[in-house]
Amino acid sequence: MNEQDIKQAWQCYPSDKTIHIKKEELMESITAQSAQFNRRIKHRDLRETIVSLFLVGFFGTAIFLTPYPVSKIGAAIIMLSSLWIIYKLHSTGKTAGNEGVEESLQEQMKRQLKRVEAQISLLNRVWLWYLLPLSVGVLMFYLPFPVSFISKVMFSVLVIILFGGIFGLNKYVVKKYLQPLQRRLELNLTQSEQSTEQE
Amino acid sequence: MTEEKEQERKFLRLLEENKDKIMRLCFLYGKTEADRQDLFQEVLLQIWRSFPRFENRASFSTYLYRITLNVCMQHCLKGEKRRKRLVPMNGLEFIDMNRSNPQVMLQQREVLEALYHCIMRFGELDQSIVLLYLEDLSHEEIARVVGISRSNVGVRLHRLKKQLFTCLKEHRYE
Repeated sequence: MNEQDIKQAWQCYPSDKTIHIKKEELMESITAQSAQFNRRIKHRDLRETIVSLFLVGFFGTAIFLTPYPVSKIGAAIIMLSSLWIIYKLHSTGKTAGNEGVEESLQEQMKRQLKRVEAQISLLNRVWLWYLLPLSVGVLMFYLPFPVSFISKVMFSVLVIILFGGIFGLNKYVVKKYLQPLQRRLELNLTQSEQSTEQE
Repeated sequence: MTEEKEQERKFLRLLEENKDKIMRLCFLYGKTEADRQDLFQEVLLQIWRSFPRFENRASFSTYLYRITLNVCMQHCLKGEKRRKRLVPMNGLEFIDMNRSNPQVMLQQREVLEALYHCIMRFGELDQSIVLLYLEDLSHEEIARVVGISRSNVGVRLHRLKKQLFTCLKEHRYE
């Protein structure tokens, strides 16, 4: 087989399939899906804003209602850390869904690598910006309340298990998905840079 | 005619002219029939969504290949478990065609399967370079799609073609 034969075989493919386009129906479908795509992104942002407003409102009110100073500090920590979490999630690794899709493949890979690295760094430090302030806030808020010692211990254990689980899950995502993806992207980009140096 | 209608008309014309190119690439990257159709749909959606930004560009072909390959590569990099199935688009039918000579078709399929197997051994960027070469793009055009220099394309393609032919020989296609 020579080069021309291979190209010809490739360009005949797939010879057993064809695509029939009904123009009006397709256009309706594409515009509807595109609008749905935009709506999904808007809803995602809206959901986060609602959750943050709820947490800020709830714990903001709790600061004034609770009689215990330690609980007031706990509520303030939860309120501030909720805002901080929303900000962190919003500023890292969030996409509008199709950024740079018409860029060259190398540029797109660099963009993707940057995003993956930011996500890895975010998840690796999840205990610092998410788990620690929230768990400390929740414990400080709850523990001064006049409940039995057993329920305080059980609540503390539950918080530790829950936050420990979230930590483990984040680590798993980094190891299982993000790091292999990072390695693949780096390998591709290194290979392309090596070829440039060889020129 | 409104501007939006004019854009739709232009999009549909370009789609009709280029659907086979998109299909070839999607069919290579998709593992199952459903996967391939999802990819095709996703490419159409992304082309349409970024179509207003294309307006003043010189080459639709560069733009088309960039979007198609970017979508296909992202699909591969995501991994099977993280992909979501799409709702099928109306107005798009994938039709099986009956060919008169099954023997020729079988031979063609064998060659293509060997070709696929060999291409999939390369890294993602190299795969793209080989595919664009098979699509008969010039070095200049490949360079524009991939984002590397023309001479770099030449160097890499020389090496990749050697590897491709060695691999095909292993599959007894000499």
